[in-house]
Amino acid sequence: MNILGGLGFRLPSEARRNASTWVSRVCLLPIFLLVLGAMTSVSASAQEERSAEDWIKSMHAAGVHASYRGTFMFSRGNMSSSMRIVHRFYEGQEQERLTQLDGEMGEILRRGSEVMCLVNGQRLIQLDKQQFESPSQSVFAQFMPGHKHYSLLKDGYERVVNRPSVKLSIKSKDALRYSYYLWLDEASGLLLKSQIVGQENQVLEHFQFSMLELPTEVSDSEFEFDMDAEKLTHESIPMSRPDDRWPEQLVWKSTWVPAGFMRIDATASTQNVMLYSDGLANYSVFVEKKKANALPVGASLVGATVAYVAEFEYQSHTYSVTIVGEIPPMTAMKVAKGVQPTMLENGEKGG
Amino acid sequence: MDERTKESISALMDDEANEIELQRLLSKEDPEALLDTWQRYHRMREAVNGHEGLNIQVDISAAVRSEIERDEMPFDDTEGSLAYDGHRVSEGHEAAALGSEQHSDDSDQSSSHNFVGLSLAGDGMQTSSTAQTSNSYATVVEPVRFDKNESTEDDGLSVGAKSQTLKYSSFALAACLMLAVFLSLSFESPVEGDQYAITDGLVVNVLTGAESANFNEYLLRHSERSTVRANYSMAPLVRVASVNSVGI
Repeated sequence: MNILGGLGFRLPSEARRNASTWVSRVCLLPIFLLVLGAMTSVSASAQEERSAEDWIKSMHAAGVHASYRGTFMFSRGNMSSSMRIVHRFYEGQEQERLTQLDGEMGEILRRGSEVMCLVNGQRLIQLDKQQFESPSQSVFAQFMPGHKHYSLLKDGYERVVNRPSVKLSIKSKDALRYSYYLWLDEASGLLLKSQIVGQENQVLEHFQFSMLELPTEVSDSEFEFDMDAEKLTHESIPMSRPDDRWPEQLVWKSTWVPAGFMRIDATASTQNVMLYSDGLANYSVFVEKKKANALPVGASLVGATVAYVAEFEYQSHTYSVTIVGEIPPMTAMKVAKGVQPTMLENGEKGG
Repeated sequence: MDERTKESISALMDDEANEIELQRLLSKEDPEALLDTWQRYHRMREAVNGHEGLNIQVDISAAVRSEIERDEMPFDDTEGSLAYDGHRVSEGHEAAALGSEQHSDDSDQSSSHNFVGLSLAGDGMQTSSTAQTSNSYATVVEPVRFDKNESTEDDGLSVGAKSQTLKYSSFALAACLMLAVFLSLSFESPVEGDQYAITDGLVVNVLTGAESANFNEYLLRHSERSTVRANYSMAPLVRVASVNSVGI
């Protein structure tokens, strides 16, 4: 009655305290508690034994192998958008399609290592990245975040998108990285909701499914772009933009790596793109010639993502070092300032 | 929280609560539970009335309380406005305000928003020095006397004990909550292409449109490389897709 009252459906005040309301509630309550108790006792005993690490492993596995379809909200900084996602593991590769549901139409399609972006059904943007096809990539897939740098713990069980989920709290132990709250589907381990939080526990990035079909059957047709072939323009973004004028012996070294991070693309053939990870957060280092409309020097932030740009003068050329990742701007700044050029000795080859 | 309390909150929303009910609510109930229920009922009503999406989640009661404890509110009976001559802390972040927003054309104030009345920042107190009423919100916010001498130790709202004051302060609370939402939504980021923070040698930029596209390009390259290895397996490309409308 109280709710109806609040909604403007007025009842006489005597009716507000109508006894029948609470009588019916009192009758229903024990039944509800019984059902709830039975449900939780079954699932709790099975799930209680799994550690936070086990859950992270199953989150990773589900992220790759699960077939699902859903919509989710994603907010970072002051931007928030809803997106649709379809995902499956098919013939040995991950396939994924992301569709922006707000604002300008944008889609991203991934088939294995091939990534395409389609903007407004007309601009097709692809990454030119032949040089990054590397079989060693998956070696680091199970690289776990260290207890030295994060405290991992199970933080209870909650209901998310109408599914029972386990909440993981992954708190950073220093200011070099962010903390995470993850809600994983109890049945599959799939990430249902996540928050990246900063030092003052402020939420920098928030991801949450609002609808999820899991498990589900996903068909081939769901991974076909609806393109306007006549108007379609192709664009290609090179993964690496080395300066033509670079001497062949010039390589770049990152002399300051935040504790707990390690380079995970050791086989990369180029020396000017590097990827580091601490098991949860990743950042890339790009060293390039300075280009037009480059990002301004300093940190640019969108939610938990930073792009930090520093410029270097070396042998009368200006190079820009860009750090991109989900790390605090201070960490990115230190990394950027620690990137140094080195001339290799004769005969030594980069890589 | 018992049924009777919920009834009272419900009645309060429709402005049908009597003074005794209101007194009881404010003095007996756990402020957090009270606020939570209050917000939830509003959301329900919004949903039913077809105004979904307006989520009243900003809680400024603590800020109100601390402000009251710090200062006494000048009370201007004749103008019918909540006039507060405080001091402004520059560059507040998510500001919530009680009172009305005044868009100033004065060039020297163009970068900051002026709030008439009492405005409260999400992570710090922000009080405006402007004390003139200018538009409609002033009619919503009736005169309120916040009197710290009369307030009880632990009521969440620290409002005065006089019945008249209490009635208005419930209005004020509602207005606070509503305005907090509106103003936090409309509060703009600093001018594009500007630098807005320099601490410990760290420069933080606000991106222009062209730079945003550039940012996204880096993000795409970074995310793409992270796809295979990510342990934290929110689809890595989500970050790219989410900013797609800005550029690439």
